[in-house]
Amino acid sequence: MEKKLSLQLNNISKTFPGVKALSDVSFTANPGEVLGVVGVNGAGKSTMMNILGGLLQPDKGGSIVINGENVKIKNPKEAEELGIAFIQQEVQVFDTLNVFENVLASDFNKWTKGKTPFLNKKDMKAEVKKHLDALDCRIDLEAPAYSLTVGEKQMIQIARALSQGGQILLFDEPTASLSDHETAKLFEIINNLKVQGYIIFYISHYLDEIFELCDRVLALRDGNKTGEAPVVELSKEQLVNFMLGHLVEGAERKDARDKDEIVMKAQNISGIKFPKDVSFDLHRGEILGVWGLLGSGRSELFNTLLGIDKKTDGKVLFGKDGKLEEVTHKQLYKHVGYLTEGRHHDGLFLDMPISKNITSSVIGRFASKLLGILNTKKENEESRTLMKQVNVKAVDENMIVSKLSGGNQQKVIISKWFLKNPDILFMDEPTKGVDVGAKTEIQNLIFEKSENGMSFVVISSELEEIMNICDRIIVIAEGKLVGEVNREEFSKEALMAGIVKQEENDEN
Amino acid sequence: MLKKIKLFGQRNKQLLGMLVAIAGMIVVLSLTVENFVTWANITNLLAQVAPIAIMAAGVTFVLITGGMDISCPAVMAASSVIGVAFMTSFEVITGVHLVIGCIILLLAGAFFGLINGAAIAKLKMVPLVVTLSMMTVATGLATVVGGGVGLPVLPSSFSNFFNKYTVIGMLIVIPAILDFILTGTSFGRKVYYIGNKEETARVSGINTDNIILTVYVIAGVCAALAGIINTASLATARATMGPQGQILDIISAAVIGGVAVNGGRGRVRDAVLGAFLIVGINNVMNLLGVSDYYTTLIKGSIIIFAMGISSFKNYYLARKAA
Amino acid sequence: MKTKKFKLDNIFQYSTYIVLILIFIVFTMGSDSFLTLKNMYTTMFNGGPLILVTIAVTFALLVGVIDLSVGAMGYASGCLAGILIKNFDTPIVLAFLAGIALATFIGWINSLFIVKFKMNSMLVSMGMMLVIRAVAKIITHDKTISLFSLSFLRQAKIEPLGGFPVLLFVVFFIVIVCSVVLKRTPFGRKLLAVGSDEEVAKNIGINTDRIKSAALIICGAICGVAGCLWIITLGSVVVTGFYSYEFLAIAAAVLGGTSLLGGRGSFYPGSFIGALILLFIASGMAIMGISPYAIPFVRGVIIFFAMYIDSLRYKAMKSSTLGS
Repeated sequence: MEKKLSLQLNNISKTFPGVKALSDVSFTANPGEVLGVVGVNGAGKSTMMNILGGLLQPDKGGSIVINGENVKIKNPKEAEELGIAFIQQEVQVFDTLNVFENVLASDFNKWTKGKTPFLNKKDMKAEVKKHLDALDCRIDLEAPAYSLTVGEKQMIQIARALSQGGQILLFDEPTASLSDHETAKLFEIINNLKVQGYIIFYISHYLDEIFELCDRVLALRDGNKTGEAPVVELSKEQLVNFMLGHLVEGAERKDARDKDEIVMKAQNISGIKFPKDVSFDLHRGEILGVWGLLGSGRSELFNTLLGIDKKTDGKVLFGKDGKLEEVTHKQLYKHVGYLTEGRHHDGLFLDMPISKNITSSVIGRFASKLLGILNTKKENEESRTLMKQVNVKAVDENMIVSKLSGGNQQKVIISKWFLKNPDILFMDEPTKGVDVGAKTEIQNLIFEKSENGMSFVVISSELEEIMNICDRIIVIAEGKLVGEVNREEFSKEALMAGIVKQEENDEN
Repeated sequence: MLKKIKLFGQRNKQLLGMLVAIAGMIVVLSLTVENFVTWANITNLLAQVAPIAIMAAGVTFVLITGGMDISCPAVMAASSVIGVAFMTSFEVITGVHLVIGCIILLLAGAFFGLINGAAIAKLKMVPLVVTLSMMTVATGLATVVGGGVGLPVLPSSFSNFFNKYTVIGMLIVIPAILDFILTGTSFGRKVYYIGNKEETARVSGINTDNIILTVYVIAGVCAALAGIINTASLATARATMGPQGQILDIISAAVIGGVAVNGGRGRVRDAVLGAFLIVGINNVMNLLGVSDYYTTLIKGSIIIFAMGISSFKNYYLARKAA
Repeated sequence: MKTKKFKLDNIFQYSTYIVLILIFIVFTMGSDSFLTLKNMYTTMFNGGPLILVTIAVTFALLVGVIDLSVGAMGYASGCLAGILIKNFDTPIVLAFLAGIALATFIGWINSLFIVKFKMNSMLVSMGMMLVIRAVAKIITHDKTISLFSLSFLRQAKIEPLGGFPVLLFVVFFIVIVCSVVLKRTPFGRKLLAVGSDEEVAKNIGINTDRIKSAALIICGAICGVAGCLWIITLGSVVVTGFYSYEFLAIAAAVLGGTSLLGGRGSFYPGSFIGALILLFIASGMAIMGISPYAIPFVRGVIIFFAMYIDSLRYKAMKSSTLGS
């Protein structure tokens, strides 16, 4: 890359009907810089990236200046031509095409053999191999995209950005679905690009990453720029203050676990690929954490235990009145709630009002015994009660769920399971994509419920969070149970010990 | 008081629009056609609407789950042929035979629906293709069972029982029951949940497979009910009982009535009103002496036009925002 | 793990061939006259229109659009060409060009409603199908038009090259060209990209509207050719022309591995073999003297089973994204 681009945003605003998503935001980005962008959901981060990426147009009056020249980015193609590459949060990959076609998908026309209309597949593959090698990514170029992991698909997106000659890269929450190893590789790549003079925008909820990776940080709140500073001059509390406008206290756990009563016993649970022979106990009122690297099979453990995926071996016992009895997954599900990892995928009914979402797992409760006739008044009343309990911020229970922020959507799902009031609540990444304020609220709710006797099994990829809220953590690697750590012994080393041993065993 | 009316109007835009359209049609017809507002004519029209309305009601359940059922007219014909074949297989046809024949007819419809539902819910096959296969299979079956010559005529007691007043009764009662099931029971609510997001419904503990299977059975039974009505008016059953392209009428009735083809939205009441509109159009054309071909032409255009208005609105708004 | 997934993919590709071979075996056992060159030629010759309509509808399916007007477009093209030849003494080539132009025009109108105004493709094309058939019925006064002047074409095209119908070359040519375009040109790959995920395609700068419109217009054009082929093979324009072809074509395409959701499929072997399967079922049953009424029944059952296999294929594809 010869020319080094500098980017300047002046007085950028964006108004949607009824909402001002961005107000008068200005800043400069220089070549060779990693600029972190933080803010709660709805603060305007994605809007800003979408404008830079050509997916949205800013209001009149603002300007974007690249290398001293005023530019208009009317669509993604123009963004590409200006050297801007947007690597979005949702993986932008064509499942039915193969790897090298995916990487060069935006430029098919440029890869024809001379004057013929035919594609020069040999050259295409060579080009893609060049970029993938630079990213230290070893995937078969002819592999169909649907067979890749999320991390590999992201590599393809980055390769695509690089092959387009992008010099300004926009990363939107890139590590949400990446393993530790893949995250480390990503950081390495970003640092390499920084040295080469790229400008990199990095949006993330993980403040640790911001501090590790970025040179400067830009904080947004309600569409306004509330802070901009070099990372070395900031503390975490100051950054959170920029994001929320106030300081936030962490949640505190009071140990209320009934150490005697076992509410569920899983024995030798095995599934199609994962899990492999996992056994563990769960006590009443206990918060059990499930830790492991990405791809280790934690979500599969939940899915197999609860009957969503097929179970090939093992049994589950549930404790009723102090006695443990073997149960089928259908029977188990009656006493269980499941907050899944993808709230938009299988956690919410997006076009339905809050009340209908909240009552969806126990709709039978609101129906007459004989014919199943519904009592909507009761539904609405109980929804309102729960919304208050869980602090869902919305106009009323009839508001359509898709209009809520991520944190509030997550709270709606939590309300739904609290209404069912199951003995056990399984949660897969309960605070993923949720801003700092709501995160603490959710953790407090979990504590409260567990003090009242509800047991939790929680998967979290955030070390700090899982050590903060759990009484005990089991460690999963490659589908197997490789460790169990009690609260007194919590530390990163203790948690990783089992995983490291497993990897050593594999190599032998 | 005025506020309440306004709120009702906003919430039920679809319903009001359709009632206005139907009222307008009635006004136009009564002014331009002699003998329109006679008891005989109106009751005849209502009896005509019944089969399509009932099939549209059944299909609404399927559409809301995000599925598709294009086999309704074929299932109607096939189950009717099976029922009549049974009824006419006796030397002397008594009332008992007719009653049992009807039961067999309904069971046949349910059975076809069951096959559709099982393939779609349990074998996870694509609804369009499954019901397309069923359409060809059912039509073929109806042709084979009906024979080249056709089935004998039923005794007049059958047509007398299912005279137009009975049929109008069915038109009112059956969709009313179905509409209530859909909007006021937990089963109906689960249908909406599945249509909105099947994965979420499953995680919520809803038995999605069984419910999806059931909605296709409902569609099959509705097709069979329509078959009874048509059999009564023909006094027999044939593979070609429904007019060509009737499935388009049925689906259009539902779509005009606001049932989304992608699922999650709509209700039986509106689909039935849509059926009134469709049949109304058919009749306007008929009474004006317009030939079948032009009718199809105009119907096709109106449907495209009706859908076009909402789509064009979206297109226009999208262009403005970009 | 990766190689396993490829193998699965390939097996499913071959499953189409396997079904065809199975059908051949069944019918060869059922009758001596099935596995003859004459039968092969005749079936494919008479089935030329269906093969082309299947190719046409595949274009639409690949970009994720369901076009139910393909049968009607072919019919309209043949109708127009036939009328021009019979009533206006138009030279045959010009008449054919007019027919193809008409079908292409209808394809363009479809693209206007479906792509520009974003209307539901299934309903729009269904409506269009009815409109076209209605208009055609009115214009032909619901009567058959016999075209004697074409019979020489028919004879001439059957005899040469040892019984091999020259017109089949046209069909093969189109199939091969479409297949090459799909596999080896930017346009072909973009078709798949748009069908696979339209949002993503738009986000990376592909002009999805243009690609979808092009697919629908090409679909119309090929239907136009099918219509011309039809009047040659039949020697007349009948009112029931291309009846139900839209459903048969879609079934054939799906049999051949085209996904109804878009982004997956092929012209060769895919849709071509799929069409052949349906054609040979009919011809085999006819040769064995089985009642023609049973043909839709048998086809329906075979489509059903083929679709079951397809749903397994789809499930396999989806499950391979697990592991997070």
